[in-house]
Amino acid sequence: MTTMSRDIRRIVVALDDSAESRSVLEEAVALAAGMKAELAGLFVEDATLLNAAQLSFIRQVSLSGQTVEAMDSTSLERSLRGQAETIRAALQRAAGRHNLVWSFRVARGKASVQILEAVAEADLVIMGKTTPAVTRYHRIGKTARIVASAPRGRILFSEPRLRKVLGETGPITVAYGQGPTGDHVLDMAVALARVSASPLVILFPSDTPDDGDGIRKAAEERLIREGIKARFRNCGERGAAALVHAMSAQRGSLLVIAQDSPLLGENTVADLIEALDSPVLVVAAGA
Amino acid sequence: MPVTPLPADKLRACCDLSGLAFETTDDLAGGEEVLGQERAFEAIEFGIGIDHRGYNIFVLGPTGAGRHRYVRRLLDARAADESKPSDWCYIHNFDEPRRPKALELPTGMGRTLRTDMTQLIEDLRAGIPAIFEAEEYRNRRHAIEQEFRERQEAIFEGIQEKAGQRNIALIRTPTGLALAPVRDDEVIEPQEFQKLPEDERKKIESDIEELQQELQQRLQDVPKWDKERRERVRDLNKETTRGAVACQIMALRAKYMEFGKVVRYFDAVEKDIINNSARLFLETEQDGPTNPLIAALQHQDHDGPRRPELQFRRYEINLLVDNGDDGNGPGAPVYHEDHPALPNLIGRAEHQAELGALLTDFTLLRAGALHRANGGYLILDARKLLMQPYAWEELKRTLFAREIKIEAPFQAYVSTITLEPEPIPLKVKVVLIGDRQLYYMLAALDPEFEELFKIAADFEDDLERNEETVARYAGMVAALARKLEVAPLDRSAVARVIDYSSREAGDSEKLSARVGTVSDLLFEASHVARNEGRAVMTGADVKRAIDLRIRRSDRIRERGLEQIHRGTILIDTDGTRVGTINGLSVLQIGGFAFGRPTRITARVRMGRGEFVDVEREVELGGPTHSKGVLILSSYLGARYAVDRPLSLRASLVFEQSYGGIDGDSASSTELYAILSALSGVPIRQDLAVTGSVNQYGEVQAIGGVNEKIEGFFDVCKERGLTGNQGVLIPESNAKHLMLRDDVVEAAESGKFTIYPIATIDDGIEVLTGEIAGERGDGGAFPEGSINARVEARLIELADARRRFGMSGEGGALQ
Repeated sequence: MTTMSRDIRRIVVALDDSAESRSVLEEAVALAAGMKAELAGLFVEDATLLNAAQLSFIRQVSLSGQTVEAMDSTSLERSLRGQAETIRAALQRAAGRHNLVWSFRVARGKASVQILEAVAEADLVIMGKTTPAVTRYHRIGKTARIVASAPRGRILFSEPRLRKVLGETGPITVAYGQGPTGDHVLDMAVALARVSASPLVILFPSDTPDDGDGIRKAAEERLIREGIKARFRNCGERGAAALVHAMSAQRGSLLVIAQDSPLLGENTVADLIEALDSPVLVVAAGA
Repeated sequence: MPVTPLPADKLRACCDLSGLAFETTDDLAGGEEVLGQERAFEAIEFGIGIDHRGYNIFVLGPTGAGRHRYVRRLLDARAADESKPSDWCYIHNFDEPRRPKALELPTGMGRTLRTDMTQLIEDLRAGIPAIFEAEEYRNRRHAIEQEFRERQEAIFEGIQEKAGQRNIALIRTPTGLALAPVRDDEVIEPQEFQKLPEDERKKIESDIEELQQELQQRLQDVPKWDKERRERVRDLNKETTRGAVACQIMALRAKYMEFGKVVRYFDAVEKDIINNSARLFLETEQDGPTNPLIAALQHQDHDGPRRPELQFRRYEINLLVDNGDDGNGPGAPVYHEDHPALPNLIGRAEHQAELGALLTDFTLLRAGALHRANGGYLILDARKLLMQPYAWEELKRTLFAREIKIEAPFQAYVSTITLEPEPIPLKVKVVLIGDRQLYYMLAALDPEFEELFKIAADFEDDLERNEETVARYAGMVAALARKLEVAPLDRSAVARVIDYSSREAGDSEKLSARVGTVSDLLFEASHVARNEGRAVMTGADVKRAIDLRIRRSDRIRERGLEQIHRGTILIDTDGTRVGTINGLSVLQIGGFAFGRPTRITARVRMGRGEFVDVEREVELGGPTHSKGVLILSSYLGARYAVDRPLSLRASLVFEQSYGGIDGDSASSTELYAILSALSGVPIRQDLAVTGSVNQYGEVQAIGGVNEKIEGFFDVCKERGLTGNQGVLIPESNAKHLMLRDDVVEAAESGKFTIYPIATIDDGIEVLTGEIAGERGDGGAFPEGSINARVEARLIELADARRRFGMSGEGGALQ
């Protein structure tokens, strides 16, 4: 067990009533079990919805387009309470299977605000890349984009739509850059590789050969101390597209990256999350 | 003419093996294992030979006569020359899963087909997912999905764009979609909305209403598109699968092209795989963890084997009957079902518990004895068969229908889903083995029995004992010793076994045909010999084994002897008594029979010719016993004072008998007691008597003569043999004598005597020492003779009765 994995003592998972959210829950439970961490579920009652329900002229159209009915606050709140109870029960069942210490909280407000607030009380926050949205096929939801843009803590953006069709579990891949945040990123990746018994691949930038060698050397020294082996791959160019290409080449199962990673180039973390078909764990500076 | 006692050499037959040259049974090669069953053998061979419906065989006869062994040997020999029957499989019925199809294949091909199908599915399980993973499929699938997404997104984007231009947002609710006014990207709060000018509010409401109608209208197209998408994906899946399946199935079709039903089965398999490929071959993968990381983590928690994938069962071949490698060698099957319960007979559908329900399918169909014996012979024990619920009725139904239908009892009355497998044609010869009583009961009570079992093979209980059969019997003993792997027998042991066989037959001129009893004796004698350190069994070992067998069983006999010895049961073995005589009876307890004496007494007085059988009066006597007593009355009435009414009342009692009595073997004994009572001449108590009598005073044969003699001998021996003691037996029973060594030795030394009695007159003379007497020319018995005294007493009673009647008191005479 690494120092980093010992640090992950509390994981907060943001949940909603979607099918994708059940997959996020599975992922969170598996991680919490592997890291022997407490798991806290968070369900946010969307303030936007509650506001809308108070406007008497607003109607809701069923997804099939067959029915139109008035939105009233009472029935909306009842629905939200029902969703919360369903999610709580799912969390209880999943945590019970692994004998996890668990809790569940319902918050009201804007989802992005509530999730960012949860970062302060958790060692790791897990959320889906897509939250319930009007269009089902957006690669990143509005909430995820807001959260990804705010440099806080460690947040794992899960990819619930990803279906494992074939192939073996791929390696944990880390976008490594020197500096304190880079070390935290590496420690986090080592911890994940250990609990999932997956190989570790380190992507490093090499704009100049000297930089590349220096970064690789620094990572190797750190890995020797942890007693773990890894493959090193030169990422070539910087930017989200280059990272997506590298992940695809390595068949990576998850990418760990710093909020301010030099490998992002001109892109933001949100751009990377949108471009990548894999889960992304973002580590903020100082996390 | 005085009765001549039987000489000692007539008291048992002694086996003479001088004509056979052997030291031990190892020298006697090639003996038969069953003797004296020619009639049964002919019947079985006849029955096997007739290939026609209803010519099944019922083998009847005593237990231990070698019925199973001989039937098996004969059937094995016959079946070896016949061809092996087909293999039978059950396969999935893709049109009606509840009705699995039966498939007949040449011997050994069932296994090949099963292997081929297993291989096919294994190949497809690897091949189909690979095709679905290929770039070509993914691109085509992606194109379909993308088209649908774009159409769907076009709706929302169009609406969202229009809405955005009017500061309205499309939002997701728990149950659908809604349109709400926004400001600075946030839904306007109600209070703020109310502060807006009325015109603006109305405009917003109007815009929302308009957009809402458009949204509703366009959303109604989505399910139609989604259906279209699913159909296109399904068609793509079929097309993709077809390429993988067709070439493999084509190879199988070529291999089995001679078998139309198999080819049609392949057609159905191909169609089913193509239609269900995505669900069957990709489902498990697609239902797995959504994330590789989770997969890795979960894999660590579950190292056990994966749950069997039930969805592929439908492509299995249930090889119900595999005659290709059944371990029985060449030839038709000869199958003996030892436990003929209904499911073991006609097969069964097993069930598996699945989420609390019991489910079944064609792979859980199991063969019964009729399937295994189909094309050959089935041996069943009749008693076991009849004791199993529904088994007999179902066997008959199946034989009449000539097809095997796997069906659970009460299936017709149970509403749960079950299977109706296609029946399998049946061609089998059934051999039932049972006792005679069962055969006669079935023949009498079941009208269908004789239609289905036209051949009766009746095994004998015994066979003639002569020089030839004794030699063959010695050969049989030798063959049995080798088969049973017991120690070989020397000459004396073989002789002792043969004599034992005669004793078992209860006849010195017969040999028992129950080889099972001989087998048991060989086991036991061999054990005795080995305990004594002998490698070869001797006559002494056989005798010891017989003695030990008796010893194990004769606790009751010993207790009876003890009670007589202690005077609890009154039996005299010396002196004389009027109207009192020692009768003899046989008790059968388990497999052990023994004789014991019983005191029989008779009292007479004036009466109307009634014979009071006390045993009958208290319902302890059976009908045959009562018949014997009535014969006495007839004998007395017809022989003595025929011109007068029989005017006595005689009562007969089996003293100290508290159990039931039946049989007429004591009728002569009872008659002697009455004659003694009438004549007043005492009867010797050192003699015991057995034998029935007819109306003419002829003494007739009875059963269990050996046990009866030995029963009285044991009592006398216990008290000390005086030389005067003995037993009167019917003359016609002399040939049945196979007495114990000690009885024969006592007779040889003059200490015990066996009298063969032909008539009552002969017997009464031995018992009383007085002359019985024949009627002279004048019609009268000689004066002082027993018969004269009996007649005089009867005349006296008749006269007294007449006088009594004349006095007017006759009405009171009872």
